[in-house]
Amino acid sequence: MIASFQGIHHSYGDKEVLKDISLNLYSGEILCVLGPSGCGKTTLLNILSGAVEPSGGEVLNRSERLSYVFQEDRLLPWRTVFENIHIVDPLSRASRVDALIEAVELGGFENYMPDALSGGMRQRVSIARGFFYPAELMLLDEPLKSLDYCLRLKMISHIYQLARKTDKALVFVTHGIDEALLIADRIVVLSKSPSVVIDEFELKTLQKERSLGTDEMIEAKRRIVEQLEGRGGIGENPQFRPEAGSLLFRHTVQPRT
Amino acid sequence: MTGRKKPELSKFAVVFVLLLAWQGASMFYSSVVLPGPFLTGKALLENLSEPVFYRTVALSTLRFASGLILALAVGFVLGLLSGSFGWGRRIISPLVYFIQSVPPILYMTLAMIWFGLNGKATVFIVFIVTMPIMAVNLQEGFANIDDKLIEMGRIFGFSRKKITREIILPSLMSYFKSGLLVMIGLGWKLLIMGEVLSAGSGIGSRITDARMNLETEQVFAWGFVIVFLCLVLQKGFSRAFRLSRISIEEGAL
Repeated sequence: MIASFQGIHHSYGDKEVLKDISLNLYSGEILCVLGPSGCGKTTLLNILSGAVEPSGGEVLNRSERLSYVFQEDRLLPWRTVFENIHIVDPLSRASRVDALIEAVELGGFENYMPDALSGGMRQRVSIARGFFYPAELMLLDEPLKSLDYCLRLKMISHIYQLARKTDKALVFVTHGIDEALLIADRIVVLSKSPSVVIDEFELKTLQKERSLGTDEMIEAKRRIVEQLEGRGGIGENPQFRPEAGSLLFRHTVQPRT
Repeated sequence: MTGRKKPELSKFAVVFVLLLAWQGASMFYSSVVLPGPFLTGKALLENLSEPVFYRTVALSTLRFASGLILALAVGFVLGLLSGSFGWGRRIISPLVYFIQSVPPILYMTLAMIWFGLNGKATVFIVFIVTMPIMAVNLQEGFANIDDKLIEMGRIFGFSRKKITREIILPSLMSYFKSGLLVMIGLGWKLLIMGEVLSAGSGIGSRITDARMNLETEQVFAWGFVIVFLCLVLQKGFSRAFRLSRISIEEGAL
């Protein structure tokens, strides 16, 4: 376990956002924090990162150093793809950057400036940068939010493959059930604000075999939707409706043993 | 190759047509009112053959450079202070706004009273009118620095020095560059105006002499020299800026 957060609660003035959240983060694990928009997921990430001190609760073993993939790419417009990645750890070998660029399928774009790339490509650079930075904990704040569905699936695959090659603990925050089901080792479901953990479970199926059409996934999705409906967290959010395309998706990499 | 040649050819064609129109128009007026291109060219060549021409140009350039460097230094500091600190903005913004609102001719009048007719007034006018441009541009640049990039830098462990070098300075660069180019264009025009009004030497003074002697072709010839020098300065700075930026980027990593 690389960090533990026990009984975290947080308020902005009189408004309580998080209420008694407990999370343990493990090395090499992809933890998805799932919850409706506005439930305090970003606040939780800020607490995990140390940017915000919680109003109450206990934080144990949190490392000072962490990596982050933001909702927006946040690349330096005056630096090339290669430089944007290398700059976060300039003492590290350049060949590692090249390998990461290849891994996110951007080989040949090393010397491109960010404004010459599409939104999806820029976000892939941002993901590669997140993995390049030497930190035990990597936080991903809805990094696929602005991308279309097919691109999201592709990016999930990239993140998953890169995560399997490191010992980083990944906390992937999203309000997309499909995203969470396809990538997570463990899912934590938050209710709408003030948030509590309404469900937490591990996914047994190896990611290689994972498809939204399997019984486990359908059951998991039903379970999440029921939990959220019970707490009024679904509303009209289209992210929670079944998406036909997602049934076709399969990871193409070897699972961890 | 063909693609590059075509715009060059069309540029020459435009210049040729303009020269033709100028020559045509000059035939309807006396050379005192509108000297033609041949007369102007002759005057220009005569000037170019005299050593005094180069001394004149050097003197004006020196005055311009002095005013500009002073304006750059003061404008940079004021822009930095007003962009970085709340108190700086509260004090400097009204001051800069005030300096900007005063017409240049008023500064010129004051400068002639303060510094006399020895050329110092022209340095002053270049300084006082162009300085606020840099201050305002940098202040604007600071206001537009992307906080999210700064946050990114902090999360990825950038030191304060690295944030300045990698995020703040590059963010300000385009504001600095555009400010500098405007300063050069405006400063050069003001310099000539200042010299026409106050100095007994420099390009402006030669224009005054030509006016007094009704040598309109000399006024035209000096006009071409002024435009040429302004163009060289702007292009030169633009190129130097580009080169220095490349070398900064190469050296940073």
